[in-house]
Amino acid sequence: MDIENVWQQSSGSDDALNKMFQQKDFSNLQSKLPLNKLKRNLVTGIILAVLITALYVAVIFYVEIWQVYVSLGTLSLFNIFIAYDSRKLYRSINVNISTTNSLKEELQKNYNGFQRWWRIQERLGLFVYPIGAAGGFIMGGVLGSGKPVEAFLYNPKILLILGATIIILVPLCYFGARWMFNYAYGKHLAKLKATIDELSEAF
Amino acid sequence: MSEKEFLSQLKEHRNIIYKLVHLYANTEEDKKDLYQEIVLQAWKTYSAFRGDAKFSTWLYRLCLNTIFTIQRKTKRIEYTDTAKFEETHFTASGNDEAERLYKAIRTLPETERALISLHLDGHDNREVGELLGITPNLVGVKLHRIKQQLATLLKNI
Repeated sequence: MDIENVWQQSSGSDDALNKMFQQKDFSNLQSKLPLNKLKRNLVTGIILAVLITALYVAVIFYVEIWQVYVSLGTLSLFNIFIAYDSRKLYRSINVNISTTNSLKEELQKNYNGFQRWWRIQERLGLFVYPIGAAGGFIMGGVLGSGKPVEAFLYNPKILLILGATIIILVPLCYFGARWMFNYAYGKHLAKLKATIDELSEAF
Repeated sequence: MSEKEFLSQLKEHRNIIYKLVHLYANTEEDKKDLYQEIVLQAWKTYSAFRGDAKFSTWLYRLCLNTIFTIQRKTKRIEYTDTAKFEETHFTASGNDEAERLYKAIRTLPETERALISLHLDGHDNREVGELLGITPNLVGVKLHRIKQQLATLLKNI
């Protein structure tokens, strides 16, 4: 079989493709590229960060506990930083498929976008969760017990529980976030990486 | 290029979209998603087409970059001497040889499918290398191996 000839002579038709060409307005079509989903996630993240920061500021005015001020103030700063970083990433991601990049470059662009997003989530996990857990614990404890914060934290048992809360909650949130990331994009990222490696290796 | 010219070019080269999608789509849903994404991306980026390259090369690049970037259902057809190839839905206007060739190519790893299809459509090793991001020498070495593999596969299909 002369495969060049057979391939070039082959043609086919498909109703699904023909229907696609009959569209009157292509702008109605929805993109299903994973980077589009990522961009939508970034927007959701930014909105949440702003809303949560507003809530923190409201709590700061309501609760007169300096440890909670420090905790929520720090969290607010981190939230603002994460929202800023997310916005930067959002603006840098071009969801249109490049017609100048090689396949390897295009796959690398996609892969890097996801990796940068995950680094933002990692920072969130490592810096925000411990402070959030400590602040939440102190605020809840003080409001629940009705004691001043110094009296509430004076009990060594409470300090132990606070430590345990941070030790349990932080990894739980971190690994939970990682699991969700892997669940949503893990297979896709592994495939992108495998193809990049395949194109990079000297066959 | 006006939108009208673009659409006419796209329709004229629809066989590239058809052939590539049928080399990679594993389900009907995949196929429809790929058609939609390719047409949408072509529509969004055609204004950047300056005519430096042939329209077919431009479309090839767009199709491959889209196909490899989108999330697809993974279902690789493993080749064995007695492999069943019913999974391939390609119909080439009653051309048995073309159908056999498609079935054989679909058993190759995904990057190799891109490489052989570009080669069979007349792109030289330099162009294939540029489109995939590998050197022309590697394209040559790989093509030699793929053709040998295809010859064996075609004897068994």
